Amino acid sequence: MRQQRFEQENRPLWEDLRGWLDERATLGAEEVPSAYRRLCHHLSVARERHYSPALVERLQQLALRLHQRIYGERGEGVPAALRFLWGELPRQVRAEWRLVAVSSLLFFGPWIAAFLVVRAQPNLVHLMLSPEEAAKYVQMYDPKTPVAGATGATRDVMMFGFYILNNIGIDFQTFASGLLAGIGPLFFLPFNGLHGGTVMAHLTNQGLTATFYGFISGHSSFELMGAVLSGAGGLRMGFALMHPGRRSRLAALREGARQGSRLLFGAVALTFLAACFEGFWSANTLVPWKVKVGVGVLFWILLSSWFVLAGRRGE
Amino acid sequence: MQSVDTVRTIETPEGIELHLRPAGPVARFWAFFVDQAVVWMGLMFAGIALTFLGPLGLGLWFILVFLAQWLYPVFFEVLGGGRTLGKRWLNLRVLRTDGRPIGWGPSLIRNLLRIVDGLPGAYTVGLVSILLTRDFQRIGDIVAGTLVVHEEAGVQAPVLPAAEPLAPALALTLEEQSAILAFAERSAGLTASRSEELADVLGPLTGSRGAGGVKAVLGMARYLWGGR
Repeated sequence: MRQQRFEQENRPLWEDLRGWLDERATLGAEEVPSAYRRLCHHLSVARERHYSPALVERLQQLALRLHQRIYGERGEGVPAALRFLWGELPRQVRAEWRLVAVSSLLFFGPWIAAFLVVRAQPNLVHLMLSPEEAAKYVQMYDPKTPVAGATGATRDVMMFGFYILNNIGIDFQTFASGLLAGIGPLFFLPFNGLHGGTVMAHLTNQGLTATFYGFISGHSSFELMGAVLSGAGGLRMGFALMHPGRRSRLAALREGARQGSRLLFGAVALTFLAACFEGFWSANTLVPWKVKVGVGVLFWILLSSWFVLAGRRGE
Repeated sequence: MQSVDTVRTIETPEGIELHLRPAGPVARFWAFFVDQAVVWMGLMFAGIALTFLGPLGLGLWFILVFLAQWLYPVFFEVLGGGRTLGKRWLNLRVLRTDGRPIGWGPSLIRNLLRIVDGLPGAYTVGLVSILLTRDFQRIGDIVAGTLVVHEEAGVQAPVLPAAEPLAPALALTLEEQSAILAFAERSAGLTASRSEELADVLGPLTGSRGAGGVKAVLGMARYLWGGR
């Protein structure tokens, strides 16, 4: 068959398919698959008969666009993300409890050690913090420090924005550097743990218990577990690279990154929640600090029971 | 005819082959450059506007910086059909290696791993990875299973130049017929002297040179296409 007749006979079908791609009502949903298969047949025929390159190229691009539309995933959307957080994430945390435990140990181990050491030997604070830094932390939590410039709601929004930028950025960094054979989390988690433990012990030594613990307790559960999960996600990826098991190294790495990024998504959600509390609740001075510590403990209990109990019905 | 090319072929369940053209480092650099320029200009203007809001504005600006730094490419790639503004400018598109559109997971992975590709500075790791892989993939692309392809702008059906249909004197192979059709389709974009130069190659077939040769080749194209 000459090309001209081939084009003439089949052009209506191609136009219909193109129209369907452009959201025009040329074809019903049930007609598309068979029309697409016929287009694929036309493409093969046009290639085999060496019709002109422009025609082959037009058919192949139409086929490519249809391939993407037909085999593309449906958008997952917000409901699916919430379902993931509610059920699947705790399931995955339980399934990978060893990894989460390692990540927790890397983070909380140095934290507790630094806290105990600096409590016992207050001068050792200078191993981690320069005198200026130490003084800055003391000043930050000193109740006598006037809140400079801004007060109330606008200051809360400013700090909220800063926590988002800084803390979620750290989560991303910890996760991504896990690709380097896990070195990123192996460094960032203990380092941040040492830093946190030292600051905590130093401020306790200075007698700033009320302001410091009143501030951090509310959001501590979400923020610290967020850090642990992002570390676990990074370790998942690095571990897959180092120990691929029965897959090829590349396939193992892809799967590890997929699983790790799910943990990271949980980490980001927790860190975001932490930033909300840190910005709009923790700095609140109207509530007595013991109440705030109580609320913080309550959040730890809720978060732990979510990790342990949520999503069991679908298991 | 086996040609040396960077085309990546994917086979679909319908048994046909689709061709993708992975984009090399230069096009991708310019796309990245445009993205960065847009993002930083946007942040600068937003920053100036937000200073009037004081600390509130600063807080909003921090959030904008966070979104621009980490999530701008992810949102644009997933919601914009695989194209950030820079990629749109350069007609590039991110796809999965099997030709399907990119989703949230792979997009997040490939964009976060820019940290690794950026080591030890100036995207050195990414560049080396692009140069070493067959499909020009940086580390983030390899791990996420994605690739950046050139998007051919929608090919218009070319109009064959009018000419008296002319049967070739010899039996032509399919490749030769296809080459003559390709010449006719492209002839509108060629200068007269270049057309003549190309048609002269077929001198033995057409038996004439110069403008007469071009006319004869276009006539054969018309005949092969099906004109009577």
